[in-house]
Amino acid sequence: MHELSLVNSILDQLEEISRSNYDRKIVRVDLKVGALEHIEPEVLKNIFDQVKEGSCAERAELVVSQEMALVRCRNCMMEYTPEDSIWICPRCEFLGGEIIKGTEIIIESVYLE
Amino acid sequence: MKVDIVQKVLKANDEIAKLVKDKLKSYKMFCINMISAPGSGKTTLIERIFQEDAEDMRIGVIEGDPETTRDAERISKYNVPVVQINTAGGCHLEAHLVLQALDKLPLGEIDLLIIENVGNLVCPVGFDLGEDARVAVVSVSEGHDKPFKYPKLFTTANLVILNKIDLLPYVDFDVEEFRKGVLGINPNVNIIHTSCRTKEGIDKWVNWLREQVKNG
Repeated sequence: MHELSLVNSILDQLEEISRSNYDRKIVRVDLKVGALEHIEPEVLKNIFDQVKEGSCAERAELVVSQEMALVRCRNCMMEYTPEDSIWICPRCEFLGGEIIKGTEIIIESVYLE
Repeated sequence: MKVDIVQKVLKANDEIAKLVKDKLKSYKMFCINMISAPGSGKTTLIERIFQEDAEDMRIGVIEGDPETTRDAERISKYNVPVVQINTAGGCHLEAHLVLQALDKLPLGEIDLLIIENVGNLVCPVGFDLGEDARVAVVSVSEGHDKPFKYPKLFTTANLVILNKIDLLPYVDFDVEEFRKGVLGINPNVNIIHTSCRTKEGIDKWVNWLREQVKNG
Protein backbone atom coordinates (compact mmCIF):
# COMPACT_ATOMS: atom_id res chain seq x y z
CA MET A 1 0.00 0.00 0.00
CA HIS A 2 2.54 2.62 -1.01
CA GLU A 3 -0.40 4.60 -2.36
CA LEU A 4 -0.79 6.23 1.06
CA SER A 5 2.85 7.40 1.01
CA LEU A 6 2.31 8.81 -2.46
CA VAL A 7 -0.85 10.65 -1.41
CA ASN A 8 0.95 12.12 1.60
CA SER A 9 3.80 13.29 -0.64
CA ILE A 10 1.29 14.80 -3.09
CA LEU A 11 -0.49 16.66 -0.28
CA ASP A 12 2.82 18.01 1.09
CA GLN A 13 3.63 19.41 -2.34
CA LEU A 14 0.14 20.83 -2.74
CA GLU A 15 0.46 22.67 0.60
CA GLU A 16 3.70 24.19 -0.67
CA ILE A 17 2.12 25.26 -3.95
CA SER A 18 -0.91 26.71 -2.16
CA ARG A 19 1.32 28.65 0.27
CA SER A 20 3.35 30.18 -2.53
CA ASN A 21 0.09 31.26 -4.22
CA TYR A 22 -1.40 33.36 -1.40
CA ASP A 23 -2.98 30.29 0.26
CA ARG A 24 -5.37 29.76 -2.60
CA LYS A 25 -7.22 26.47 -2.40
CA ILE A 26 -6.52 23.71 -4.87
CA VAL A 27 -9.44 22.38 -6.91
CA ARG A 28 -7.81 19.88 -9.24
CA VAL A 29 -4.57 17.94 -9.52
CA ASP A 30 -3.41 16.20 -12.69
CA LEU A 31 -1.19 13.24 -11.95
CA LYS A 32 0.63 11.04 -14.44
CA VAL A 33 1.42 7.50 -13.34
CA GLY A 34 3.62 5.06 -15.24
CA ALA A 35 2.11 1.68 -16.07
CA LEU A 36 5.11 -0.13 -14.58
CA GLU A 37 4.59 1.47 -11.17
CA HIS A 38 1.94 -1.02 -9.98
CA ILE A 39 -0.40 1.77 -8.93
CA GLU A 40 -4.14 1.42 -9.14
CA PRO A 41 -5.61 4.85 -10.04
CA GLU A 42 -8.92 4.14 -8.27
CA VAL A 43 -7.15 3.16 -5.04
CA LEU A 44 -5.03 6.29 -5.26
CA LYS A 45 -8.12 8.48 -5.77
CA ASN A 46 -9.98 6.84 -2.87
CA ILE A 47 -7.08 7.39 -0.49
CA PHE A 48 -6.64 10.96 -1.70
CA ASP A 49 -10.31 11.67 -0.99
CA GLN A 50 -9.94 10.33 2.54
CA VAL A 51 -6.69 12.09 3.40
CA LYS A 52 -7.38 15.49 1.78
CA GLU A 53 -9.88 16.50 4.51
CA GLY A 54 -8.80 19.69 6.23
CA SER A 55 -6.01 20.38 3.74
CA CYS A 56 -5.66 23.04 1.05
CA ALA A 57 -6.89 20.39 -1.39
CA GLU A 58 -10.03 19.54 0.55
CA ARG A 59 -12.22 20.20 -2.49
CA ALA A 60 -9.73 19.01 -5.06
CA GLU A 61 -10.30 16.28 -7.59
CA LEU A 62 -7.37 13.99 -8.34
CA VAL A 63 -7.23 13.22 -12.07
CA VAL A 64 -4.94 10.30 -12.83
CA SER A 65 -3.70 9.54 -16.32
CA GLN A 66 -1.67 6.44 -17.07
CA GLU A 67 1.55 6.60 -19.00
CA MET A 68 1.92 3.51 -21.17
CA ALA A 69 4.97 1.34 -20.72
CA LEU A 70 7.51 1.53 -23.51
CA VAL A 71 10.58 -0.67 -23.76
CA ARG A 72 13.38 -0.71 -26.33
CA CYS A 73 14.59 -4.02 -27.72
CA ARG A 74 18.30 -4.49 -27.06
CA ASN A 75 18.74 -6.41 -30.29
CA CYS A 76 16.90 -4.46 -33.02
CA MET A 77 16.19 -1.23 -31.04
CA MET A 78 12.47 -1.38 -31.80
CA GLU A 79 10.39 0.38 -29.16
CA TYR A 80 7.27 -1.48 -28.08
CA THR A 81 4.68 -1.68 -25.33
CA PRO A 82 4.85 -5.10 -23.67
CA GLU A 83 1.42 -6.64 -23.68
CA ASP A 84 2.23 -9.92 -22.05
CA SER A 85 3.87 -10.74 -18.74
CA ILE A 86 6.96 -11.73 -20.73
CA TRP A 87 8.69 -9.03 -22.77
CA ILE A 88 9.35 -10.33 -26.26
CA CYS A 89 10.18 -7.97 -29.12
CA PRO A 90 7.37 -8.20 -31.71
CA ARG A 91 9.88 -7.71 -34.54
CA CYS A 92 12.84 -9.94 -33.69
CA GLU A 93 11.49 -11.93 -30.69
CA PHE A 94 14.44 -10.92 -28.52
CA LEU A 95 13.69 -11.32 -24.81
CA GLY A 96 13.67 -8.31 -22.51
CA GLY A 97 14.48 -4.67 -23.17
CA GLU A 98 15.37 -1.34 -21.70
CA ILE A 99 12.61 0.62 -20.01
CA ILE A 100 11.98 3.89 -21.87
CA LYS A 101 8.67 4.95 -20.35
CA GLY A 102 6.31 3.82 -17.63
CA THR A 103 8.08 4.39 -14.31
CA GLU A 104 7.28 8.00 -13.52
CA ILE A 105 4.90 9.43 -10.97
CA ILE A 106 4.56 13.11 -11.71
CA ILE A 107 2.27 15.97 -10.74
CA GLU A 108 1.72 17.61 -14.10
CA SER A 109 -0.49 20.51 -13.19
CA VAL A 110 -2.50 21.98 -10.38
CA TYR A 111 -5.63 24.12 -10.64
CA LEU A 112 -6.07 26.86 -8.08
CA GLU A 113 -9.47 28.38 -7.25
CA MET B 1 -6.13 29.06 -12.63
CA LYS B 2 -4.02 26.25 -14.00
CA VAL B 3 -0.39 25.95 -12.92
CA ASP B 4 1.87 23.55 -14.82
CA ILE B 5 4.48 22.28 -12.45
CA VAL B 6 5.77 18.83 -13.58
CA GLN B 7 7.14 17.72 -10.25
CA LYS B 8 8.12 14.21 -9.14
CA VAL B 9 5.77 13.01 -6.43
CA LEU B 10 8.64 11.41 -4.49
CA LYS B 11 10.80 14.54 -4.71
CA ALA B 12 10.90 14.92 -0.92
CA ASN B 13 12.08 11.33 -0.40
CA ASP B 14 14.74 11.76 -3.09
CA GLU B 15 16.04 14.87 -1.34
CA ILE B 16 16.33 13.08 2.02
CA ALA B 17 17.96 10.09 0.29
CA LYS B 18 20.61 12.52 -0.94
CA LEU B 19 21.26 13.57 2.68
CA VAL B 20 21.61 9.89 3.68
CA LYS B 21 24.02 9.34 0.80
CA ASP B 22 26.14 12.34 1.78
CA LYS B 23 26.26 11.17 5.40
CA LEU B 24 27.27 7.63 4.40
CA LYS B 25 29.93 9.02 2.14
CA SER B 26 31.37 11.26 4.85
CA TYR B 27 31.79 8.19 7.09
CA LYS B 28 33.11 6.08 4.19
CA MET B 29 30.30 3.56 4.52
CA PHE B 30 29.12 1.41 1.63
CA CYS B 31 25.38 0.78 1.82
CA ILE B 32 23.22 -1.90 0.27
CA ASN B 33 19.42 -2.05 0.18
CA MET B 34 18.07 -5.63 0.12
CA ILE B 35 14.67 -6.02 -1.51
CA SER B 36 12.65 -9.22 -1.88
CA ALA B 37 9.30 -10.84 -1.24
CA PRO B 38 8.62 -11.88 2.38
CA GLY B 39 10.25 -15.19 3.24
CA SER B 40 12.81 -15.33 0.44
CA GLY B 41 15.66 -15.45 2.95
CA LYS B 42 17.03 -11.92 3.36
CA THR B 43 17.64 -12.17 7.10
CA THR B 44 19.26 -15.60 6.81
CA LEU B 45 21.50 -14.33 3.99
CA ILE B 46 22.64 -11.55 6.34
CA GLU B 47 23.20 -14.04 9.17
CA ARG B 48 25.33 -16.24 6.91
CA ILE B 49 27.70 -13.30 6.29
CA PHE B 50 28.60 -13.32 9.98
CA GLN B 51 29.10 -17.08 9.96
CA GLU B 52 31.41 -16.78 6.98
CA ASP B 53 34.91 -15.39 7.54
CA ALA B 54 33.90 -11.76 7.07
CA GLU B 55 35.65 -10.14 10.01
CA ASP B 56 37.61 -7.87 7.68
CA MET B 57 34.42 -5.88 7.17
CA ARG B 58 32.81 -3.89 9.96
CA ILE B 59 29.12 -4.34 9.33
CA GLY B 60 26.01 -2.58 10.61
CA VAL B 61 22.43 -3.57 9.89
CA ILE B 62 19.13 -1.73 9.61
CA GLU B 63 16.13 -4.05 9.77
CA GLY B 64 12.84 -2.86 8.29
CA ASP B 65 9.69 -4.72 9.29
CA PRO B 66 6.03 -3.84 9.59
CA GLU B 67 5.96 -5.15 13.18
CA THR B 68 8.14 -6.93 15.81
CA THR B 69 11.88 -6.83 16.53
CA ARG B 70 12.45 -10.49 15.71
CA ASP B 71 14.85 -9.87 12.82
CA ALA B 72 16.95 -7.38 14.81
CA GLU B 73 17.13 -9.93 17.66
CA ARG B 74 18.39 -12.56 15.21
CA ILE B 75 21.13 -10.22 13.95
CA SER B 76 22.14 -8.91 17.39
CA LYS B 77 23.30 -12.43 18.33
CA TYR B 78 26.34 -11.76 16.14
CA ASN B 79 27.36 -8.73 18.21
CA VAL B 80 26.98 -6.27 15.36
CA PRO B 81 25.24 -2.89 15.58
CA VAL B 82 21.64 -3.28 14.45
CA VAL B 83 18.67 -0.91 14.40
CA GLN B 84 15.12 -2.10 13.94
CA ILE B 85 12.71 0.18 12.09
CA ASN B 86 9.07 -0.72 12.56
CA THR B 87 6.95 0.82 9.87
CA ALA B 88 3.69 0.24 11.81
CA GLY B 89 2.21 -1.77 8.99
CA GLY B 90 3.88 0.30 6.26
CA CYS B 91 5.00 -1.71 3.26
CA HIS B 92 8.41 -0.14 2.60
CA LEU B 93 11.20 1.91 4.13
CA GLU B 94 11.57 5.59 3.29
CA ALA B 95 14.70 7.72 3.35
CA HIS B 96 13.68 9.73 6.44
CA LEU B 97 13.39 6.51 8.47
CA VAL B 98 16.92 5.52 7.45
CA LEU B 99 18.24 9.00 8.25
CA GLN B 100 16.81 8.67 11.79
CA ALA B 101 18.20 5.14 12.13
CA LEU B 102 21.72 6.36 11.27
CA ASP B 103 21.73 8.35 14.52
CA LYS B 104 21.48 5.10 16.45
CA LEU B 105 24.47 3.47 14.74
CA PRO B 106 28.16 3.90 15.61
CA LEU B 107 29.04 5.82 12.45
CA GLY B 108 32.75 5.75 11.75
CA GLU B 109 32.94 2.16 12.99
CA ILE B 110 31.04 0.65 10.05
CA ASP B 111 32.37 -0.14 6.56
CA LEU B 112 29.25 -1.84 5.23
CA LEU B 113 25.70 -0.87 6.10
CA ILE B 114 23.10 -3.47 5.17
CA ILE B 115 19.50 -2.28 4.99
CA GLU B 116 16.98 -5.09 4.94
CA ASN B 117 13.86 -3.56 3.46
CA VAL B 118 10.30 -4.66 4.26
CA GLY B 119 9.48 -7.86 2.38
CA ASN B 120 7.71 -6.60 -0.73
CA LEU B 121 8.61 -6.58 -4.44
CA VAL B 122 6.59 -3.50 -5.37
CA CYS B 123 6.54 -0.68 -2.84
CA PRO B 124 10.22 -0.42 -1.73
CA VAL B 125 11.43 -0.06 -5.30
CA GLY B 126 10.38 3.58 -5.85
CA PHE B 127 11.88 4.81 -2.58
CA ASP B 128 15.57 5.64 -2.81
CA LEU B 129 17.18 5.17 0.62
CA GLY B 130 20.52 6.69 -0.38
CA GLU B 131 22.06 3.25 -0.90
CA ASP B 132 25.08 2.60 -3.12
CA ALA B 133 23.77 -0.71 -4.41
CA ARG B 134 20.53 -2.63 -4.55
CA VAL B 135 20.32 -6.37 -3.98
CA ALA B 136 17.23 -8.21 -5.22
CA VAL B 137 16.64 -11.62 -3.62
CA VAL B 138 14.39 -14.23 -5.21
CA SER B 139 13.90 -17.74 -3.85
CA VAL B 140 13.25 -20.66 -6.17
CA SER B 141 9.86 -21.37 -4.62
CA GLU B 142 8.59 -18.02 -5.96
CA GLY B 143 8.70 -18.85 -9.68
CA HIS B 144 11.00 -17.89 -12.54
CA ASP B 145 8.65 -15.31 -14.07
CA LYS B 146 9.46 -12.62 -11.48
CA PRO B 147 11.71 -10.40 -13.67
CA PHE B 148 8.93 -9.37 -16.06
CA LYS B 149 6.36 -9.06 -13.29
CA TYR B 150 8.55 -6.67 -11.29
CA PRO B 151 10.75 -5.10 -13.98
CA LYS B 152 11.57 -1.94 -12.06
CA LEU B 153 13.24 -3.90 -9.25
CA PHE B 154 15.39 -5.87 -11.68
CA THR B 155 16.25 -2.73 -13.68
CA THR B 156 17.56 -1.00 -10.58
CA ALA B 157 19.32 -4.01 -8.98
CA ASN B 158 23.12 -4.27 -8.88
CA LEU B 159 23.05 -7.87 -7.68
CA VAL B 160 20.39 -10.55 -8.00
CA ILE B 161 20.57 -13.45 -5.54
CA LEU B 162 18.71 -16.62 -6.43
CA ASN B 163 18.26 -18.21 -3.02
CA LYS B 164 17.17 -21.61 -1.69
CA ILE B 165 18.69 -23.43 -4.65
CA ASP B 166 18.80 -26.61 -2.55
CA LEU B 167 15.03 -26.75 -3.21
CA LEU B 168 15.44 -26.86 -7.01
CA PRO B 169 14.74 -30.63 -7.28
CA TYR B 170 11.35 -30.10 -5.61
CA VAL B 171 10.02 -27.07 -7.51
CA ASP B 172 9.35 -26.23 -11.16
CA PHE B 173 11.70 -23.25 -11.18
CA ASP B 174 13.45 -22.87 -14.55
CA VAL B 175 16.87 -21.34 -13.73
CA GLU B 176 17.70 -20.64 -17.38
CA GLU B 177 14.39 -18.83 -18.01
CA PHE B 178 14.95 -16.77 -14.87
CA ARG B 179 18.49 -15.88 -15.92
CA LYS B 180 17.33 -14.92 -19.42
CA GLY B 181 14.58 -12.76 -17.94
CA VAL B 182 16.87 -10.95 -15.49
CA LEU B 183 19.56 -10.31 -18.12
CA GLY B 184 16.93 -9.29 -20.68
CA ILE B 185 15.91 -6.49 -18.33
CA ASN B 186 19.34 -5.69 -16.91
CA PRO B 187 22.18 -7.14 -19.04
CA ASN B 188 25.00 -6.04 -16.72
CA VAL B 189 23.66 -7.32 -13.40
CA ASN B 190 25.46 -9.99 -11.38
CA ILE B 191 23.49 -13.13 -10.53
CA ILE B 192 24.57 -15.35 -7.62
CA HIS B 193 23.00 -18.68 -6.66
CA THR B 194 22.86 -19.40 -2.93
CA SER B 195 21.53 -21.86 -0.42
CA CYS B 196 21.63 -20.74 3.20
CA ARG B 197 21.03 -24.35 4.19
CA THR B 198 23.94 -26.00 2.34
CA LYS B 199 26.00 -22.73 2.35
CA GLU B 200 26.46 -23.07 -1.41
CA GLY B 201 27.32 -19.69 -2.95
CA ILE B 202 27.56 -17.88 0.40
CA ASP B 203 31.28 -17.30 -0.28
CA LYS B 204 30.32 -15.59 -3.57
CA TRP B 205 27.82 -13.38 -1.75
CA VAL B 206 30.38 -12.36 0.86
CA ASN B 207 33.05 -11.81 -1.80
CA TRP B 208 30.71 -9.60 -3.79
CA LEU B 209 30.14 -7.48 -0.66
CA ARG B 210 33.88 -7.38 0.05
CA GLU B 211 34.57 -6.14 -3.48
CA GLN B 212 31.93 -3.40 -3.20
CA VAL B 213 33.37 -2.21 0.11
CA LYS B 214 36.89 -2.26 -1.31
CA ASN B 215 35.95 -0.35 -4.45
CA GLY B 216 33.65 2.02 -2.53
